[in-house]
Amino acid sequence: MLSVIFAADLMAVQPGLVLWTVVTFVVLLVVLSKVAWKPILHLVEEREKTIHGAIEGARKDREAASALLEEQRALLATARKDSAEAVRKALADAEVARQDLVAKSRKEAEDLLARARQQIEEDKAKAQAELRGVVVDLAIEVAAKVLGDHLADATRQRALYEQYVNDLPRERRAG
Amino acid sequence: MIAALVPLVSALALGAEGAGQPSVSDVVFEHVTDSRVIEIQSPFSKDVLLEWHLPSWPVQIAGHTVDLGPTKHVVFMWLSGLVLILFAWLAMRARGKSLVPKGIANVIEMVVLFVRDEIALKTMDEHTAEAYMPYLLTAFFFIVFSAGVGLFPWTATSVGNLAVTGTLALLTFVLMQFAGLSHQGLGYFVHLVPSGVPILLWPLMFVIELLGMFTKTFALCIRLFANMIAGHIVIFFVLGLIFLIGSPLVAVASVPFAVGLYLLEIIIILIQAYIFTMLSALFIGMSAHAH
Repeated sequence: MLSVIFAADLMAVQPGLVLWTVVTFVVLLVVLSKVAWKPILHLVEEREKTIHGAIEGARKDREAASALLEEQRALLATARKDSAEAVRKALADAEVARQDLVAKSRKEAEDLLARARQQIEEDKAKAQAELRGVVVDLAIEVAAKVLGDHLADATRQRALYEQYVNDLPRERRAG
Repeated sequence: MIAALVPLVSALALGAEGAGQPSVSDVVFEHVTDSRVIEIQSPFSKDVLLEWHLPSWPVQIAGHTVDLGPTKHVVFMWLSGLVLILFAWLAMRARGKSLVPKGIANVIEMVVLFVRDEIALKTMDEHTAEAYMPYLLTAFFFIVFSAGVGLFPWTATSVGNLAVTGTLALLTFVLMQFAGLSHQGLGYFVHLVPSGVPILLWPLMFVIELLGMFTKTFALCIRLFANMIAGHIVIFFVLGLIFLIGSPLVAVASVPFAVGLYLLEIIIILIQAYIFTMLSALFIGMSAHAH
């Protein structure tokens, strides 16, 4: 069998074939490098870069989004607290204002009342004084009419009546 | 598939007929060895439809006459090279500048990525891998296409030739030396011997490693050659059994068996192309990095 193999030139190495193989291989290497290998490897690299960039970008975006969400959440919580605070404060202020108003109006009313009372008191005193005067005059007049000219010394009589009238309410009040 | 085998059967039938005709083994070896004639034989008769005698170009080199005329294997090597270039061109045209491959561009890119990630980057550093990728890819596709072309009827397998596989192995050998010298300078030869070898054993180890460099290359050449040619020879002889035994009934067993072997050959081509590329990358990587 081995003799058959060698007889058939199976193991022969022709120099021409070596040369042509080198030439063919080098031509293929050059042509395919230019046509296929370089562009494919370049595109593959570019694609890997793109995918890497996209993944990196997505990761960054997600991080940014979660940071933003956290921020928003904090902001929302603050806003909620602030608004609650504001409502509470407004309510308190309103309460204070109401109480102030009530107190003020009460005071005003009291003042008004007091003034009115004082006025009344003054008016009463004035009226009493006037009344007293009128009563004394009337009494003197009446007495003069009744007694005629007996009461010549009018001024002295008047003083007498006035004293009497002045004593009168005091006794009553006391009584 | 069966059609692919028909010309072989008729050729064998021719060989088996009568006295003075060549024997079955003569026909088989005629089909796997190189020759100066390309024949296209009719599948149904003994007629030769086309016979092309290739020219002879004798050239004087250093006192020896070397015939540089193309042989059958050279012609089919060129054919497979053209098919390969056409395939690559079509793939790149289908793809254009898009980052996402389309159609047959997928096939070529899958192999490119496989060679890069599983072969080059596993055996060398990134920078070296980038430099040797074109060689590895070309070697892989060269083997696949020249063996692939050999699977069609009336063709020949150019990588089923010792001169061709020897040249491929020689190219790997040259690149091994180049990688070693360009990465390590003359220290490459010092680092052939693994570090940690006792000083007394060093000269012995140096010789062994130096021989190993050649045996690696030689094994690369013989492995590819034997694998590429063995399938063809076995298919031919399985079909040849019909004529050796002389009964058409043998065909019932041998034809399906031959078809199975034919399919097996497709797998072997891919595996051997992978092994050759892988080992080339490994050897180049080992030369480039001191160990």
